[in-house]
Amino acid sequence: MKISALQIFWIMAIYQFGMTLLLTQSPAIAASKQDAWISMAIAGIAGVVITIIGGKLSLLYPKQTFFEYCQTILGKWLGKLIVLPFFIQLFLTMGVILRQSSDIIHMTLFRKTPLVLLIILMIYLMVYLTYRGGIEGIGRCSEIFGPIIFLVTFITLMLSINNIEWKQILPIYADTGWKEILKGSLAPISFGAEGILIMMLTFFIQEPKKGVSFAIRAVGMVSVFITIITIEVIMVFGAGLSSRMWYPYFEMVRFISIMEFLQNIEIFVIVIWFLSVFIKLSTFLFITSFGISAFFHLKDWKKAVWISAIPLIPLSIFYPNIVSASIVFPEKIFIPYILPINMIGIPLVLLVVGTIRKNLSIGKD
Amino acid sequence: MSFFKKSISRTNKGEKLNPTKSQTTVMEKHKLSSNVSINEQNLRSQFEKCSDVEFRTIPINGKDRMLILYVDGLCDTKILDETILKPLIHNGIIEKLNFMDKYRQNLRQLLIPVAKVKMVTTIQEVVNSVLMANVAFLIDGESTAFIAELKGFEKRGPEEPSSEAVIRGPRDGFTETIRINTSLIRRRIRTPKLKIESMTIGEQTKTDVAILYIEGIAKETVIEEVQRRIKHIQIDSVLGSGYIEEFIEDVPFSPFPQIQNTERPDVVCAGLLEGKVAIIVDNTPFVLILPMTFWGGLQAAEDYYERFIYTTFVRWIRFALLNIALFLPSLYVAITTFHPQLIPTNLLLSVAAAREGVPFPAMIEAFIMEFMFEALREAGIRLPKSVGSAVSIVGALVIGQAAVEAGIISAPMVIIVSTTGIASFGIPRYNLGIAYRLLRFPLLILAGLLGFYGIIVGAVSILIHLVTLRSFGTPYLSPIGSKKPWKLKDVLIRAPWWSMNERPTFLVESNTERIPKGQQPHPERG
Amino acid sequence: MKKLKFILFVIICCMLLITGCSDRRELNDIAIVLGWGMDLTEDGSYLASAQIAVPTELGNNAGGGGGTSGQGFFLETSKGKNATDASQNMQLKLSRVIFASHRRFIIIGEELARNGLANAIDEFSRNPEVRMRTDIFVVTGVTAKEFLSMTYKLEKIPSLAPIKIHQSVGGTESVTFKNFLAQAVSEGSNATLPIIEVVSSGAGKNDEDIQKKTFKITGRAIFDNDLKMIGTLNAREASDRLWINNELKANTITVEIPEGNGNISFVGRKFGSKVKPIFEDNKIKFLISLSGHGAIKENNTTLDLKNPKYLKVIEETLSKHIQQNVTQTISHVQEDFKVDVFGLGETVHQKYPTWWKKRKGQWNEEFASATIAVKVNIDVEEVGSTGPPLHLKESVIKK
Repeated sequence: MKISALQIFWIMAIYQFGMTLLLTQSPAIAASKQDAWISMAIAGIAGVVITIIGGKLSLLYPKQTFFEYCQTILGKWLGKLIVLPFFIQLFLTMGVILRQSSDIIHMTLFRKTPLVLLIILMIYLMVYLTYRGGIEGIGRCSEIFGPIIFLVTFITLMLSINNIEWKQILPIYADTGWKEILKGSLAPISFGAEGILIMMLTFFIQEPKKGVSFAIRAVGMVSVFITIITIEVIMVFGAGLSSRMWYPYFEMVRFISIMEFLQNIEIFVIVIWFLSVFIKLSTFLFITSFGISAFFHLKDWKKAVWISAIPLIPLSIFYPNIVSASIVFPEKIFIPYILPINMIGIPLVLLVVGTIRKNLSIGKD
Repeated sequence: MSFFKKSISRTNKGEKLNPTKSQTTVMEKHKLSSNVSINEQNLRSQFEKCSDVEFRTIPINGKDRMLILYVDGLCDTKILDETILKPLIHNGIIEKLNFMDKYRQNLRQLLIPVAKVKMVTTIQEVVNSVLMANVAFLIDGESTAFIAELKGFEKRGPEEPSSEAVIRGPRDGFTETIRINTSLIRRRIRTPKLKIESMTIGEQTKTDVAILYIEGIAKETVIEEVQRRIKHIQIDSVLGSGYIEEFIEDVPFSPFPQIQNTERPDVVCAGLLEGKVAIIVDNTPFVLILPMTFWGGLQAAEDYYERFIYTTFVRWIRFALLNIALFLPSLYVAITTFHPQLIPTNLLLSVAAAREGVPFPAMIEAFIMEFMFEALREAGIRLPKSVGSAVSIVGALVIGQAAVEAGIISAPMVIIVSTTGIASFGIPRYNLGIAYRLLRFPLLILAGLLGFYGIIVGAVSILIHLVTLRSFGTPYLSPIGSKKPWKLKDVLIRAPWWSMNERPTFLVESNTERIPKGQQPHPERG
Repeated sequence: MKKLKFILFVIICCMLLITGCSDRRELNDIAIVLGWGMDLTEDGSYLASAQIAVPTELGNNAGGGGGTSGQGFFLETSKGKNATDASQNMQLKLSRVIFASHRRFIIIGEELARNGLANAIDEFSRNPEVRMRTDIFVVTGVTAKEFLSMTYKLEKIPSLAPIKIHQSVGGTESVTFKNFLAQAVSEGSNATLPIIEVVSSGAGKNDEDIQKKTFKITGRAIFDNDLKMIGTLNAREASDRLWINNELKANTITVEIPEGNGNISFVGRKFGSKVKPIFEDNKIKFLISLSGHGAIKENNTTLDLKNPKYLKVIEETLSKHIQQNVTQTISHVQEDFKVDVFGLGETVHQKYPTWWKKRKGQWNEEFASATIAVKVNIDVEEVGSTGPPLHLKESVIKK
């Protein structure tokens, strides 16, 4: 069960892309107005740095899973303990992502169909892929979806060019200060930082070194893409309108009309959104169930897929409305707790301690 | 890998079969006696009520006799007469055969003109040989029988296969005779490395089956796996290659074919040279090629004979047709019943105008039309050719025009269903086309229940299935997902021959070079 | 395990069958709304009118021929506290479900526009069913309801006509609603909407035909910061405004040429505009440079246009004429409405963000008192297929 460097590239690119594309633009533009693209670029750089940390960390012990090298670095008990926050994070984010993705699809395509049905179908697909294909299947799927997703996005960008009024990007860095810009970058960073999960995936890569460098490149590519899209969104709608929309990119695609015929193509955005969320959730589900099976010493990790999939239904239905899933959760839980602890704190500690330990053991020899 | 487990479990099941088998074999393995009369009696009891088996006894010197045994219609009696019986009688050899020790020698001389001769010692062997179109000679005082191969049954010559016609390319096709088929392949690949391993399968039919591969190109693991799976088959009869196919494929419940079949020797040869393994079954012109990949289903034989630019264009068309065949009806249903906001206003108004007054929901309408289409197609195949055209006229006129005029079916639905039908025949491999025709229906239901979301869920499910599917250890979607995607020279494009330097790396491990590099033609400009 | 999977599969299938389909609506069960009108009634509620397509009348051969003599649409109205409420009330009269996704034309009665749009237009962008790519107009002369009940000869659905007219006279393509919102949100510009006026067509033989009403796009309604309509620009002023905003796509200008005793018509092809804010004594000034490229389509003068001298004369006369017009338009807006409909504030915002931050609160006063200079440069690139008019005697033509 190993994946190639190219597959990890597409996995990382897809799971960074979809969510960031739809969910971060509105808060970023609301905070930093027409300078939101600077926020996006900063968030992109931060995402790359965090991915590098995760990659470096996992390359210390490329032959061990995350669970194993945590114990190698921190000892048996502390190593086990430090994995717990990640389980919490994975379960919470999976629930939120499921909810948000189903919400937007429900809003655009349905009225009366129950939301639970969409959530259950998504879980069915995730379980099917993870159970049958494992990380290899996820890799193969993303290899097929990846080019499609980015090609479609690129085409939508090209088609929106007629709607651009480039002056709306002006004035640069005048209405806002670095404070606002940094505040605007918080939301995209919280998604970009999920690149840290490379530290749990390196074990499954055939050539770990090459794979990690590919993963970093994927995060970089996504950041460039997102920045360009943000610039285009601002140029089409202006900072004023786009900050008030839930999904500015989606509205931008809805706005496309070429020759009065090539219009109403927002369905493609729904498709790429669905695909990228699907890959992201499957990757998370795989990581979670693999981790659970290691934690409880299960022989077959596939059994853990069921264990981790079932709780997702209550976890995603739990949120009373779209606001609590898309705004309260990131502001109250993700940015103050998960981002500093799980995505920056623990990996840095592990990296530092691990490097020291490794150097010490080399020194002894 | 999971398929090893599977083959092990197969053996366990296999040994439980046929508990009475051992008893019968003891009796049948009876040795031949040196007395022809006893042998004749034994054989006659074996061939009781087989009116096509001929027993011919020739007296040799009054007391000793020779028995000639063959199945009428399977053997070439002309050769039997000309080369064996005539010399026996006319040259007076019989008279000279006074001494039995000379007999064997003489008969051997007589049989020199026959290419294949062997000697057997049991009744069962005689029976088997006779059934396989041989002539058996038994003589008094000898407990061995001579078996001469004098096959001479009616057989069809190689004709152009009707299921895979080409405009440019060879026009010969496989026949029902295994030897002709192997010869068609051997004529194309003249190397001793082309191996043809034979075996017989079928308790009753004793069908010849041959496994073909090229040593040094095909993967050892694949060859061994094929041999193992075929050896474990226990079946009473094999009347077509489909029998074998269903026993050895990886995922029997998949709608997608995991083994390719073809009537064309050039396709088989191309497969063998790419490291695939072929299975020829006697009495059927359809040869199995494995492992099959998804993209193999989109490659027609002609692709490699036509110019590459045109071929690339055709491949894109085929790929579009594939998607139309799968998605068009469900997309139409989803858009008209769930998301009318997705089509331009004018188009919506025309469709709405056409649908006005149609009594059925769009999904039911689609089902009715798809059913009618499948009915027409099936009737068109089964009916005699002269009636077949009548069916299509009636279908087109009555179902299409009358239904629309009566306002029972809307005109756009007729357009959609017929486009889908045409598209599904654009897929070169018939069995892959069948998979798509089948999958259309679940997608239609999903689209009718959940609209576009249902289609996405269905499409992703199909894709997950394809991604996890393997045919003899080879991922079904390869070479998509190989390490070097820029080397995909035979998937959505067909690169020119001089640039396809490597054999497909997912099938061939060693010996990958096919065409030395640097052969792109650069004529000097005069 | 296998049994469990099978049971799960069956459960999912049952769920699909029970809950799916609930959003399913056949095309013959929806009422496709193509145009939407909003009026203010005397009791303060809104009167919504919808132009709904009648598919049987639209098809060419539905039901095997039959005349398409009937109208392709019918009108339905109802009152309500807002657009959604009104449409809910309207649904009570309709056998089919109102389907608004293809509603690309919205018309606002003048009465409503004058009383303020702020409380009436949220539905047009919030409802996920509808698109922001919508054209929105203000109608003068009649109410929106009366307007929507008119027929139009060229289009079976009359709602499509104003959109097409607007495009053909140089307006932007279906973006009036988005531009309206963008202008309303921005602090450096004020919102405007195109105006449709109902007039009698004046064509035909008998009185009835001449009296028959049709409509034309005549200008622009101007809104203040509370989105209340405070005035109008006429057609020429509206196109001047588009020119300054750099949104003009097509324009034809006819001007008298004294040197040639006649008029010429200039058809513009490419229009440009550059707004330059200048500070003088802490007072803001603007220099607006307009440029236009195009061709002469009609020449009723005696001038031979092969002569570069006369071409220059024409260009200068054109430039001067336009400059006068634009200046007049600007001062009209400055004096009578005192709101910035030219987006000049946005330019200041982009060029002098620090100054803008301090003064944006009083921008409309600043605008009303600012000096605005206009410079026009017209380039005639083509003069048509003839030099001098073909019908004139040689002696009359000025060479």
